[in-house]
Amino acid sequence: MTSLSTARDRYNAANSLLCLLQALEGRVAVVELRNEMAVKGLISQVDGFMNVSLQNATVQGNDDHHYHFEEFFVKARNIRYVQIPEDIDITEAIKNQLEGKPKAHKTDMSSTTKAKLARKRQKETLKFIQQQQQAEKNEIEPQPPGTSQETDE
Amino acid sequence: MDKPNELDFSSSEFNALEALLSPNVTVPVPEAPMYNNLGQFVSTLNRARAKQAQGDGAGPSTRESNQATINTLNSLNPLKRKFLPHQEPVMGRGRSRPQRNLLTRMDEVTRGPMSVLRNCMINKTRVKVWIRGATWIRGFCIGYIAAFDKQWNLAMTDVDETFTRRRHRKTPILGPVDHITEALGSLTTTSSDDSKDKIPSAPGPSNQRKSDPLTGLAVQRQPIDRREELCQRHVQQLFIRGEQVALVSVLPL
Repeated sequence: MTSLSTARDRYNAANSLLCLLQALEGRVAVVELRNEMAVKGLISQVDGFMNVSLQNATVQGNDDHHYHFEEFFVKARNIRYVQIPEDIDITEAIKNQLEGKPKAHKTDMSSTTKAKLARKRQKETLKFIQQQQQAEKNEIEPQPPGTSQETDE
Repeated sequence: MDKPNELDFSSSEFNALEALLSPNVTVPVPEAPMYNNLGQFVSTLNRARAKQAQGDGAGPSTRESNQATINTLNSLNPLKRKFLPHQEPVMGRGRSRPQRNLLTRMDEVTRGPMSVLRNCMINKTRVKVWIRGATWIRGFCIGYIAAFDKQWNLAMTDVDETFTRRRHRKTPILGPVDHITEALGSLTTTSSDDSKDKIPSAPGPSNQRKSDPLTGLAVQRQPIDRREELCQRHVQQLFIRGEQVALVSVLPL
């Protein structure tokens, strides 16, 4: 979802409650900071370290004046609370976030001709084997198990 | 002359280069099979010899096994590979590595202190989470735990928060607060904002109910002493960063 996602970002997002905050991206929420200030705005991005950037933010100190900012960035350590909008179901949101992420496999991305050819041949061989196995299954199935056995290998 | 000898295939002075370059060369056996390289020639020769040798002595078993080999080779022909039957690829068992994410990690925790968090999450027991300031206890949150992680970040629902904070001289009760609330009306998160304001609370001076202008949540205040006041509020869904959690205790029913 985030444009800036390194492997560590993705790991943190998948293994901690960051996914909940990332589910809030694009929603208006209140972030309470540890210095008793509160920021209300549209959460535009949450990164892998829980830094939050908001748009159209209103900042309020302890009954001090309200300050309006187009963009507001909160460093992760300063967050105490995030008030989650009531229409978001927490477990659902987490599930959706986790399922949406692609599995980070270490794929063989070598793009040499030899590697490409090898991968292509591997696919063909797998297909061939599958077909063979299916053919064997079809042979075995129609025959009831008690009758003559054909020793196929 | 040299040339006829050099171009003669059967002579000892046969010069292959000259034969290739000269235009009028007669090949002794025109129907002979053509090979691309010496290797092919050698392998065919060996095969022919082996066949001859086996055709004389060995029984039909080796011939059959050879035939089987050739059959499999032919069946694999479309791939143009020459694996023997025992060298054929085998279907893999698939990835045995389970995928680990937040949900699996929450379930993995069955022993140790975090299992308390997990049990509270599963049994939906009401929990008191003490929140810390820098070097003091700020207050506590009472609610249900919806999710947690190893850093003790908590997602809680139905939270009643009680906390202390420094009193400020400029704390307008009415008037300016309402004015601000109206101005920010379009930005409120909670829709139950209005209903909270309308509910009449105990009107004594020590117990003031006022709505937090930014969030629209009603904050109940109670001055403790000259410097501090106790505040209370209710948040339906709250995310607490793990760093701010001092202690989690299970509340008895």
